[in-house]
Amino acid sequence: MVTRTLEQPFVQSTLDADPHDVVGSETVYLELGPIPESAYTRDAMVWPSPFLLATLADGRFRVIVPFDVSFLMEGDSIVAEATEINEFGFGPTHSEAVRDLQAALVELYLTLRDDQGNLGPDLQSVWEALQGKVQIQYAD
Amino acid sequence: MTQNTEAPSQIAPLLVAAVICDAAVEDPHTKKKTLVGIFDTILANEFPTQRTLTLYVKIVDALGHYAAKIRIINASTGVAVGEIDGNVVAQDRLRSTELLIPIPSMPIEAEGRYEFQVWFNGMYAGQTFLDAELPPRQL
Repeated sequence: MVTRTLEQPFVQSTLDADPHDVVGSETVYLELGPIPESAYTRDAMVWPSPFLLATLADGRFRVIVPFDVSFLMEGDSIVAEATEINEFGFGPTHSEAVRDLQAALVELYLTLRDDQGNLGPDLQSVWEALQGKVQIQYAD
Repeated sequence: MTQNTEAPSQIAPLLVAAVICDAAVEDPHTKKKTLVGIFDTILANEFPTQRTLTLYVKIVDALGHYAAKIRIINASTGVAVGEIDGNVVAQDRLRSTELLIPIPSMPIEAEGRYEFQVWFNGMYAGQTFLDAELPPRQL
């Protein structure tokens, strides 16, 4: 049995450890100084189209092969399309359309995974494409 | 697990952290970083305004050469605020790479959400955000 006393604390603070026992990673500094006036690209397309989507913004999933994504306009709404698997996200801005697409891809993955035994040929090919692009990191 | 070619890597890095703070300090001996004053909301009495800040980014599972780009946009309007470019070389997929990006005076033209998008070789890796708001009214 360990007795905690003022002289011998039961738990040693990690702050007491030699600081050189712990090291960080090499750092890359990106520094441009003040943002130049020319950086104000008001009329520029902020999101490139097409672009590669390398995250689903969901900690359960790791994108190993990025999705090709293009933007379309549909009325007042912006549509982000994952062209290889024909999945869509919608929103009033590009950012919201991308977030909606990320959520749709997560939902699609989980749905197809749960219905693996009952997929038709089209959905089976979508499921195989998704498996080639996404790894699940954690079980539900 | 090294890669000598300078061709742009096709391996998508995993963004594990993107944090906005007042300043970042690196211990030159240990390479440990200290982030000072982490925040995600700016209260300003009037707009436009400016704010000095630092963006800390940490990635893993990267290997090879990357053109890194930080795009800052007003997410509400889609208007671009600026871009910051740099190069990253990752030697080992199992080690992390950290980026420190001081932004001496980020222009904030109006209320709203500002996204800091992180891109590597044209691959969108994720984002963090900063909300610019008027202070709550005093009763």
